[in-house]
Amino acid sequence: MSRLRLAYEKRKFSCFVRHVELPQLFGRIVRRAGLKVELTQGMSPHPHITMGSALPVGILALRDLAEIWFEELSPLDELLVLLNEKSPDGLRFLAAQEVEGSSLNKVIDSASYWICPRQLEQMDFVSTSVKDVYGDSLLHMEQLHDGIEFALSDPSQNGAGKLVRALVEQEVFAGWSDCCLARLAVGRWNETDRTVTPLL
Amino acid sequence: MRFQEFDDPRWPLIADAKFPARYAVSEWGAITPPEKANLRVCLCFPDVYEVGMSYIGYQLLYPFINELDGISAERAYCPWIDMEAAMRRANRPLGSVESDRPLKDFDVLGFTLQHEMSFTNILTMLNLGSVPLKSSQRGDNDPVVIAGGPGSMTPEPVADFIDIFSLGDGESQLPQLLKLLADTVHLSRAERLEAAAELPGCYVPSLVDCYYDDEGVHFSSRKSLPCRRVISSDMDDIAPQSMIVPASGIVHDRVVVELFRGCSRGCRFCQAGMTYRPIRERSIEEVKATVRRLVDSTGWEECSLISLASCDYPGIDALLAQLAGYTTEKNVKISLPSLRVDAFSVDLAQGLELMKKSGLTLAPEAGTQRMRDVINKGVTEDDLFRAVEAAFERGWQKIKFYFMMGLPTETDEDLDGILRLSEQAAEIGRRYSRRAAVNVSVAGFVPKGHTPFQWEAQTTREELSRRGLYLKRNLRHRAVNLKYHESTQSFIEGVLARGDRRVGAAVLRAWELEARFDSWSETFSLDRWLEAFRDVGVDPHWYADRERLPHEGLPWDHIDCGVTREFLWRERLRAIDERITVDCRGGTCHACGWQKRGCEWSGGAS
Repeated sequence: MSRLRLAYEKRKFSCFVRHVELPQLFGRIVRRAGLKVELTQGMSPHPHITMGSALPVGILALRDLAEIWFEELSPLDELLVLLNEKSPDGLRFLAAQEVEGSSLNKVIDSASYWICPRQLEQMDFVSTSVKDVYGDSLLHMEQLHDGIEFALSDPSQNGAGKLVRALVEQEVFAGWSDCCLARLAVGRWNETDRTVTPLL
Repeated sequence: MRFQEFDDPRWPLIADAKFPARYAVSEWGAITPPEKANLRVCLCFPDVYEVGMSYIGYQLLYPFINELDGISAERAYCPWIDMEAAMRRANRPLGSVESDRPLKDFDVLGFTLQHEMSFTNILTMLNLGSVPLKSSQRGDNDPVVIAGGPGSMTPEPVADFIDIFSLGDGESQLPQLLKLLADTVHLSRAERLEAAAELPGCYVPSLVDCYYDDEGVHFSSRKSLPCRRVISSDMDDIAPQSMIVPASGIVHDRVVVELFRGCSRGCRFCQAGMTYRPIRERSIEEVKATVRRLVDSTGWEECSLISLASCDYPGIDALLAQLAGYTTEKNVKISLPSLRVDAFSVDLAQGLELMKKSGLTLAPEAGTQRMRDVINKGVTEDDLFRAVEAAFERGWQKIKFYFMMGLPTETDEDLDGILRLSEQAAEIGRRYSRRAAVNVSVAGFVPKGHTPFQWEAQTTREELSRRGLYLKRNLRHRAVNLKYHESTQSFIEGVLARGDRRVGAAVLRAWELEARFDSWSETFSLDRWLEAFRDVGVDPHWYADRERLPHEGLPWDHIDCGVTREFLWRERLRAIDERITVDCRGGTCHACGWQKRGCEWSGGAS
């Protein structure tokens, strides 16, 4: 029995798979790869898979995290190849590491994002909104020529959806289609570098 | 944009959609279209993605057609109303899932006629795909529009919009047709349709005229009529090699394996049971091999063994026992789509973990033995209560009953029967558990073509409402929960089910008036359809409410599904006499028409 932490990216249309559907999707990928996932105990046993904090659909994930409990372990680089061979387009596993100890969501304390409005003139509005919406939870923000990068603490409490909803409410955006979003990394906040260090 | 995907012009439309996963399709097992193909086919399902992906027909035909030499198949689904509006605003054509190739750039579009309420969605897809709606408006550069599926047995209401109807099993009917179309790309449309009309199982409406008089509708053509349905005889030969697994939740999210096609029970209301004859079984060995093959390659956790009556499959219990080792090892759950109404089936279901979790569903269909005999649903009260007893005894808490109302010769006594059976079942349940419940679902009966009831007048909306309220008002038992279906959709369904070519004008007009997704109650509007009928001068009541004359020319006489009109008439007379016709698999052939064409259960009867 091995608990594996996996880093994965959700690019292209795979980013529209809902967060709640990911455990089932990962379970199927593992089964297709001919590997065995441990089942949970209890009333309705299902594959033992834990996800990191939720990401709304339509937001790219460059390096998100999940944990899968495997019945048997294969060499990690082989494992990644096997999983990627059976994954839908856009979804790709980037790294794997055997872990133990605290649960995934206890170890994650921050996440970094990129947002860019489709109308570039709205960049300043978006910057202001990022500061207003997240307040003290905003660890860092930088406005670049191609978008705004920002880091938030406590990702399970502070999601990107909050920001878009606020901008829609202020009528800066008509809907989600008015901006493009990606989650850059999930992990631990590094105070010295002012960056989110990916857990994996 | 920093990330390329945001430059995809579809992205903003998808981001705003109510259910983006319908359009931002993420799947395992789709086939990348080749750079070059002699013929590009698009399988078009006239409903949203999650409904279309639950249809086994396209899961079977998609890899099958892609295996044909030089022929490539892709898929398209109907955009929901929010996406349709967004696409029109953005001037984006409807394209395929695999390559977003606009429908107009395919050589062939293949639609499936699953039910009458999907007809307007066909028009949406054609229109968004920049394909002229009417067959008569299409030119040499427009795709050839084919339609198959159960609705092709009563094709006239959409005859204006379809170039060629493919009658019967796609695995056997399509290869010849597609090869012909591939070989004739350089010919004119008229020449190609002429050639197609010569092939078995092809009905080309533009080459068949109809005229109407006091004796009904009559068909005439230079081509030979009737057009005959083609069947696949060898179920082992056509066993599927793969399935597509959507990443996003769909309605039927599992491996599906057919046990057999056809049905021998002879229920008189059932169009599928009549038009899918004769029975063709898949061997146990092939069923097992297919289950393994599909579960291994898809990773699905559940597998459903389907047919029109899975509990009738010879050796179904042996099959389940033989699968047990594999399914335990792989942790995959087997399920059956429906249960026969008897204790045997309940025993079977008990062994299937999945089926224990959900409620148990039984379909007695009618409340009195008399009424069940009329519809030839071979279920006795004894069978029913033994099944119910078995179910509650083995731990089920909830049982669901399906009934119909508005059946031919029905009286309030039969409605009382529905209540009595349900309440008695609840009483049995209460002996085992305080929480036992019986949920009853009652649907309005719609007479269908190619059945013994094709001559019947459909019960009117007003009368169906009255019967529904009667049931509600006379229900006494607290443990019985009864729902009946809103009858406005049934009325339109009834018109389209037995409509002739003149009804097509109303389908088009309804679509122009924004009729969409008519099977969905949130988008269906009876008033819109009534306005459409008024606008084109067609009386819907003449089609739904009217009893047909015995010798009336019916709008599907030119389509031969294999079961003869004489047989259907005999069955209608037996229905009126309340006489049952036993399952012909048991050894008594009733000469439905297939005995002349090699049905293996006919025992030489003619």
